[in-house]
Amino acid sequence: MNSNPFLRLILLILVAILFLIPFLSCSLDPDPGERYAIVYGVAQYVDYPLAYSADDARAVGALLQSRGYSSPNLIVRTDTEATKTNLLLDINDIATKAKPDSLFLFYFSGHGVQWTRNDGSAHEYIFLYDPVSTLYNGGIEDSELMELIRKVPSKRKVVLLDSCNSGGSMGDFPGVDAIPPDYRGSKIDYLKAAQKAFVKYFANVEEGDIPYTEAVVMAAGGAEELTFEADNDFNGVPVAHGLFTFYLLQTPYYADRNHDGWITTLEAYQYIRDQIEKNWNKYLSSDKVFLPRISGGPLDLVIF
Amino acid sequence: MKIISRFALFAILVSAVPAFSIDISHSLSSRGTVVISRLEGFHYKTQGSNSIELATLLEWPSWGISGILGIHGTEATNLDGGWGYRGYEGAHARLQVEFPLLSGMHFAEGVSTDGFSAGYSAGGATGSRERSGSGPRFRTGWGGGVGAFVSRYRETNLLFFYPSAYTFLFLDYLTAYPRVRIRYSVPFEWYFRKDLASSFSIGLSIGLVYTWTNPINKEGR
Repeated sequence: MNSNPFLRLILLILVAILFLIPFLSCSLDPDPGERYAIVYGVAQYVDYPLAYSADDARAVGALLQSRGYSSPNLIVRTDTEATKTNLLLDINDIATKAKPDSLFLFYFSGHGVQWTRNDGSAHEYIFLYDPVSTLYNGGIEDSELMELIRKVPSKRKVVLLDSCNSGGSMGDFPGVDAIPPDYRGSKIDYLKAAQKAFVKYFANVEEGDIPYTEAVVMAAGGAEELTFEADNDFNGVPVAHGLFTFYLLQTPYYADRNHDGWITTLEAYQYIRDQIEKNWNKYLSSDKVFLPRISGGPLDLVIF
Repeated sequence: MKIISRFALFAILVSAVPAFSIDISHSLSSRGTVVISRLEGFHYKTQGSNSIELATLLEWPSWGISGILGIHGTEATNLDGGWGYRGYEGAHARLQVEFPLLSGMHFAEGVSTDGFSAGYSAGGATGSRERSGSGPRFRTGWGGGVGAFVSRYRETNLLFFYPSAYTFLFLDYLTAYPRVRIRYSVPFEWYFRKDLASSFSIGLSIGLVYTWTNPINKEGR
């Protein structure tokens, strides 16, 4: 058997593969390098004010600073400063400084909404501060948000949205979500999602407004879900944040599953989702449950 | 009205197929591969992947066809540079054809017993093995096929679909049991994933094949 050249060639290939496999798990440097962030939070809306959204932004800003983001590449604005005009200026500022190899992160905490137009299409908005009306000039449609983010030339972008209906802001191809857009009362359905994934592959449909090629989006809830902030959890432990942000702030301590000292989008997502499911959804009535969402696509990014 | 059981029907079919020069086999195999992928704007990274597959093989003297069902899991890449490709897992199906290249098995009388000759069918080979009792007991071949995958990005509830095309070299090695052979194969697979610019894999598969039909001597096999 060994005298045959063909078999020896096969054996040589197999041995080479066996030797190469251990190198796949080499731990290289996950440092995300130069990083930029815009962090906005609005609580003092003219109508429908929130309690903790501005605190969310301040806390996330502090977290990012402790994890290597620094001024002037880290911009934190809250309440009356967190306007649409300032966001345009901040985006343009960072767009001139960031490079393709930089990491860019956008965080928002505040109101969000999904509106259905006459043609039946649903569009999601986030609301920045507006002195006249919450719903007047501060609204940013998800497609508009995508155009803003697109100005930043970084290849690695992360969008974190702690607002109602924010899951509708992400593209739904590739990766059909087995969690329905409204988790309230609906079950996770993998079979249905598999059927949709099959159809979408051939239909080449790319719905949603921030595609996976533009950014990894992590949203506090689904396209048809409300999300919440809280004073305390069910054990009386102070929260004083939006729930999504509350657990995001814990990720450096509890979400690092591979113990490499860095938190990725998937590590953060899994931790936040599990905590909300475990600490909130199981205590709440079905009309108040919600689940964070993350966009599809092959990329996982180190965020801090 | 149930006249015969399903098992009896299966047994009748299995005993009848040798008359049509067909061997029916089932195999259970494990495949380890290195997946190499690239997203537009990013560079290639590698992922380790494993799958377990159950196959039904129909083998004629000069070719064979297999239907395969399996499950797979692919690890995430390293995070060098602050990014990586996600791991994923799921189920898949394959349809493949295969052809003999060289055989070192000892065949029935009238067929080459020294050196290599074209040949196929585990049944024929096994019968001859018992007759010869010594010498190499293997055969090689190549094949190709198409696959369909449904996977879930790990740590998420997001499912995606993609087809594949692949080719492979294989080596069947007979065991001491006439109906059983071990199959080694080296597959190269190209994945038509829409979320990546390119993705392919190379690896090694090891499987156990059990032939249901009676090993018989067939001239030319």
